[in-house]
Amino acid sequence: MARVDTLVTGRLSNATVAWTLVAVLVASTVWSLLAGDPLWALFSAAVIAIAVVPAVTATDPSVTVSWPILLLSALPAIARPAGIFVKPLGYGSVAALGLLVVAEIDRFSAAEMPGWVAAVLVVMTTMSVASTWAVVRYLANVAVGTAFFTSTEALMWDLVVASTTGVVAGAVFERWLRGEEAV
Amino acid sequence: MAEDVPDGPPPGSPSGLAATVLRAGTRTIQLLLVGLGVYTLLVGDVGRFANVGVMLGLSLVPDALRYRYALRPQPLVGFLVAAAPFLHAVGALGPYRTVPAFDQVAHALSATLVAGFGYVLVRVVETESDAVQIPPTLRFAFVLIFATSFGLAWEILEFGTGLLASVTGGDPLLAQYGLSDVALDLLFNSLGTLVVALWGTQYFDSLRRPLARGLDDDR
Repeated sequence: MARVDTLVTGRLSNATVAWTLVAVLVASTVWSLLAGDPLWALFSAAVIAIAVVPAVTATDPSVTVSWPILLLSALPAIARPAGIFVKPLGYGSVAALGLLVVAEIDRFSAAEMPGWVAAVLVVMTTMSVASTWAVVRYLANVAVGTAFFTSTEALMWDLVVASTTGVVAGAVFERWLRGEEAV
Repeated sequence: MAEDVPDGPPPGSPSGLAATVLRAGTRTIQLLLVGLGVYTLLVGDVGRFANVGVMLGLSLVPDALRYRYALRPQPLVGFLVAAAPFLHAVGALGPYRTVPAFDQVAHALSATLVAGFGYVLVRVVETESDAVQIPPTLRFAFVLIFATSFGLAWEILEFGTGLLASVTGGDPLLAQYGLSDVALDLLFNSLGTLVVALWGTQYFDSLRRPLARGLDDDR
């Protein structure tokens, strides 16, 4: 049986890095709010919420998500205050969030599934996150005039690349699970 | 852990009169689709004729299931399976462009079907597969994720046919009508999905057991 839940660990070293990242994310949320960027405050808050689910569910602060994946999902929120924003960070982040959600479902619910089903679920979750994020950005643009895409093509290519990243993440995830299984 | 699906109408299913009205509505829509097909053929619009043909085929799926597998889809489901393609066939003739929100209504309606299918899929997999277990509390999330990602895949398909049409110089079959339109499509997909995931799954229950039985036969 594949161990999808190994992306959630109880190792202390992992927990230290993960909580440091959460602290940075909290700072990023506050920064975004002060800088008048509610959308990115929302994004950081969503990453924080997904990051603390394991600790809250297990009522044990040492149980955290794997820190490299958390870093990947947190990168855009961390890079923005530093004035760096490159699109690939966003795509990687959305796929990493999809991965974390599936890992948490596997770890903390009675759900069980073979590796390939988990991989497909990663792809679908990533696509759902990308779609929802696009809708949120659109609504925020209509309501308070935050930035949004200026052309259909730009939006669609963004969604295509985000979905493709999800497919890659799902495939890598499946290979990795097989490796875990073989050990 | 096979779970019994009750044979009788699920709670909240339409009464005899409502069922009759829904069935009559379904037949009317199918006849209208045939009429649309004849019309597109007469004006020589091959692309739209093909579109109407596919939509008519979709609207006949519940009848095919009833005939071939002795399934008994709920009248409401039968009606939705006819109404959603009908809206799409009509929309492609012009209203998608001229009537505001026509596209969004069509998307919301289609999304209810996709969510219903996602629900049936989740239930069949969870009862039939030993390797996959999905707790009832997560069903809702799975249906949402399935239908939301399907909605995005559809939107990408529309974009793809548009790109293809711009390369070949033809008319895109599944067109996108601007930035807001795409964002609103995605939004209304989610709304349609949410309605089914929250309140509508029982309408799709009658499709579960025969599908599961079909899987058993394959083994």
